[in-house]
Amino acid sequence: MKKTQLKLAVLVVVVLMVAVMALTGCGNADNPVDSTDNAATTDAGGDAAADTNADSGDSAANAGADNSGSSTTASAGSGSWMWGDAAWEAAVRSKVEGQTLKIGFTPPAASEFYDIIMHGAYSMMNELHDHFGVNFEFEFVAPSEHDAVESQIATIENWATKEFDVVLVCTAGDFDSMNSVYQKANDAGTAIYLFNMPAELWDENSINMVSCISYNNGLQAGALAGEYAAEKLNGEGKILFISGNDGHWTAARKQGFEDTIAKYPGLSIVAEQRGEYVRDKGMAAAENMLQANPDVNFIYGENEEMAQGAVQAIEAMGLKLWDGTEGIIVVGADGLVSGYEQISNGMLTATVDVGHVDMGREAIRSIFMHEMLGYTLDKVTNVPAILVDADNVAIPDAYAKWALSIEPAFN
Amino acid sequence: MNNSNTTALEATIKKNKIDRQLIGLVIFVAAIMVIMSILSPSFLTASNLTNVLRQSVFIMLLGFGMTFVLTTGGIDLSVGVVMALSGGMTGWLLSFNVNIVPALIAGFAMGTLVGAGNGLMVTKLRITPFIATLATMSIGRGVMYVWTNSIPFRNYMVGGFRFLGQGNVLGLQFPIIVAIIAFIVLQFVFRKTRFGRHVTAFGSNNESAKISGINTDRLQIKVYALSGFMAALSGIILASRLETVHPEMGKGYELDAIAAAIIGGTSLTGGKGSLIGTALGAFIIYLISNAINLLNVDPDWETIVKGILILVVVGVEFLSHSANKRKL
Amino acid sequence: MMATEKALKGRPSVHKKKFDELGILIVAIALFIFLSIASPHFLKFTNIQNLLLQSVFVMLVGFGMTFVLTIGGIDLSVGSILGFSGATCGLMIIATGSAAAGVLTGLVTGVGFGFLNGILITKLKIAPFLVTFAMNSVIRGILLLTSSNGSVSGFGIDDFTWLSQGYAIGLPVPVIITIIVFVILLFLFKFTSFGRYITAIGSNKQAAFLSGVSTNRITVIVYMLSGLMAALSGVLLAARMSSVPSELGAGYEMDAIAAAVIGGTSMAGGKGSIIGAIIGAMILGMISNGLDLLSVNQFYRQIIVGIIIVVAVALERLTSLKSEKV
Repeated sequence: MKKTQLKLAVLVVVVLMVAVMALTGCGNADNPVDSTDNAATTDAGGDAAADTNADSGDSAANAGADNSGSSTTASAGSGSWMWGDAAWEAAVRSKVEGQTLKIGFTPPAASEFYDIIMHGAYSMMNELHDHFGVNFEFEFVAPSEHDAVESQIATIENWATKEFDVVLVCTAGDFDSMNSVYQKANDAGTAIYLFNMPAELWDENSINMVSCISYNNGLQAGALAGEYAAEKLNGEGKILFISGNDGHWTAARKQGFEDTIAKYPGLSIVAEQRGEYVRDKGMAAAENMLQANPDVNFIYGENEEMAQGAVQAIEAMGLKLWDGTEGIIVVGADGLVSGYEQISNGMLTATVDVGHVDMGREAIRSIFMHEMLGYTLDKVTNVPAILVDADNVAIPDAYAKWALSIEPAFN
Repeated sequence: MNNSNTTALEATIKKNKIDRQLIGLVIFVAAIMVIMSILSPSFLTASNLTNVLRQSVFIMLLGFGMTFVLTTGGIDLSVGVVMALSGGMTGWLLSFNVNIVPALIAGFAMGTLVGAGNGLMVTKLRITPFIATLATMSIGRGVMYVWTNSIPFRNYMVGGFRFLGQGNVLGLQFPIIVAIIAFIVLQFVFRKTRFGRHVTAFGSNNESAKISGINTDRLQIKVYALSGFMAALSGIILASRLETVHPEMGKGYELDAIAAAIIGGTSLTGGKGSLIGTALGAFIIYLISNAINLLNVDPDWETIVKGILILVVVGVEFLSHSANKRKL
Repeated sequence: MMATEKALKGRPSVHKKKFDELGILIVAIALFIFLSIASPHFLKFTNIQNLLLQSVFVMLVGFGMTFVLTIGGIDLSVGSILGFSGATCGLMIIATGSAAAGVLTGLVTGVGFGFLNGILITKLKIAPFLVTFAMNSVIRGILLLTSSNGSVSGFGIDDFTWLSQGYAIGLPVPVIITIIVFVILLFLFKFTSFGRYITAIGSNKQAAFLSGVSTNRITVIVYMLSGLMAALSGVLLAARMSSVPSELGAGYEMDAIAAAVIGGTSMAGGKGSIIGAIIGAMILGMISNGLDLLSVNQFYRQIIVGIIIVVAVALERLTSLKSEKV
């Protein structure tokens, strides 16, 4: 009996260790840079821009940290920040070179949208690494359910235990529900930054964070869609509204949209249903609402997945999509590459690019400026957002694709 | 011999019970139809009802497989993720310009194999079906994320594939036709074949089924594989209909499928199942959402009303049951 | 009464076995040792505090679920009850300013919904799965209506948040509450006739009924207990977050069931273990804590969780089969 138990215990340990180690080995986020990643970076860099000039300034000092010897990333040559001035770069480099920032990144879900933000962050970390020799450790954890706020709280606690310098948070939980864990993290020496959160809904000074890098959900997403409706419909028309899950984003976008619509007495929202931010639910909601209101002019879906579901519902019911002069206009929000494709194909009419790439870039830049150089930050920084339709889709599409092509190479 | 006699007797009693429940469901559907046709002019139209039917096809197909699983006394929580895995497999292959036939076969194989894997865990490792399929659900979802890198599969819509989810035959949407064919075939399997009888016998009484010589392990593996296959069918059609496979595709469908089966009179404890009931159950779930949407009820109310109506549907069965008792 | 005792003796008693949870305990210890070696942060005092704190919310719900599963039922409504009880608790605090009144309201809400579940199951004879599935969406809907802008907040008074954010004798307060609850429930489960009846009903409802156990009454009490545990967890979570998001608790039913079943409770009824529920919840807690500490890639996490659950339960089965043979 004793013997079997001992055997069993050994077996358990072995199995668990093999299972966990095998899998952690595949995905250790601490060391995302291995040979294959570097190969990818080189490829991406070669595709986008041949920026040998950016190499000259820092290649020598950088050789120790970056053993791949590949060219720097595509963005470095694009002059998007104050790159290129040798004196300034040398001054900064002397302060931060060789130091490491540990950053945790926790969005509410692993999705295409947050993937774009994360790649935006990669792009800035790569640039800072190339120019100033600062290193980053970057970890990414999302809860398995979008609304599992307490699982994000646990992750933040665990990261504070691991002595992270900074945690970047975006959560479905409101600021109140997160404030005590932010305090707990601050007490442990971990600074909290928020991204993609509708700070306009709260008193930002009461939040235990350094800064929130976001966009204004009401004005920069909801209101833009509302203005677009008014413009295209000349202030006259029936609107269907497909909302996401209850929560601050949904509430803020809805308020921005409704407030704008209210300015035009000819516009009315004739029906509203929930699409839970997913395509099949959005499609079903659109189908059902279109049964009762086949004569609508405009459908607003609070994200692109639901809006694309609405497009497919319109097609399946044999109704006419907007062709520039007549048909049903469908507008989404977020700015995914798949959404831009649908706009180019003439399916989706428009969407709002909420500045996802810039949120990632700005967040990292703010962290660097404040944590390493000591600059002060405003409590809320809103990045630019833009309404995207067939006329201007090329620009945000190219920007998002550039961000997605970037692989991490920052330590 | 004695044993099989009693099982047969039990089966007839249970069948009567199911019939009563079906009557209850039909009464319920009729009641909704009448009330709704008064409240909303767009409800009782052919286009709206086929619309509801088409929406319910996915849950219905899952529910058919689930009915077999529940009848053996098991449960399959992995069907939602199997939809994503199978739809993903087919879509992924199609996006590499693989011919549609092998792509479909690979999708079905994926679902069937995952299902068989569930069956193996349940029979050989003796893990409770709930936990085994819960673990499969978690693993499968993780695989979807690793596989897609969180960016949905898309750009796989070749002409033939589009037909599966969006085509029309004789004025009916193709998914509806698939559901009808699946229903006829499975109804035959369930009621007329040895396999179907064994499923019911096993669910009524595991021990006596084993004693009477049924290879119960193989039976269960087959049942879970069937459930996986049905989930694959549902997932592939959904992939065609949505034109994209999101890593979260099918999330939560498992509970709706189970609810559809139970509303239709299938018992969670096994031994009692009805495919007609499941079809009606799935239809009712979507009919309720449709009615609520047409009346433009506040979406917050939708969840409440849906829950209450499910209780009412089953309550109708109970009331008709007690009325019958009084007659006796 | 004699007949009852006889019926109860007639079936193999789970209480009489020496230590049923051994297999799963070995798994838990192995996981603990592995994490201690693999991560330098794991054995830190703050991390152990966090680990316990992060596990108790599922654990409490798992306790209630253990009772429900043992009686042969299931409770899918715990997630919504958890969220809604947290919300009523918060609203009461906003209204009265008293933490005690809030906690009481929250707990009563949970017990009330548990009672409703139990009545629907026993009087209308609807399958527990269906009743609690439907109630889950009803209660969630009420919570959505209650919470404007997606959450109920503004009740973070110090008396109340102390319940989850405070420490006593070096442990977070919720951990101490959980230990007290555990002791009470263990006593209830193992040493009272109530506990024996639950197991009896789960093993064979007919026999239990015939031998004079009032099955309906006990079933209702069990669902009330499950509601109470969910509500307690909800109140503590509300105190932890000083706010109740409208989706609070969604998915907790699955975690709670997993914790109970990993701990050796049978889904088919008749066999349950409160100690097992603790171990199960700790294993789930250690997995997610460990995944964070070991910096495991996001995308592999769910795969690892699934595999560990299968391994843990399979081992549990293996050992319990062995001990049956002995």
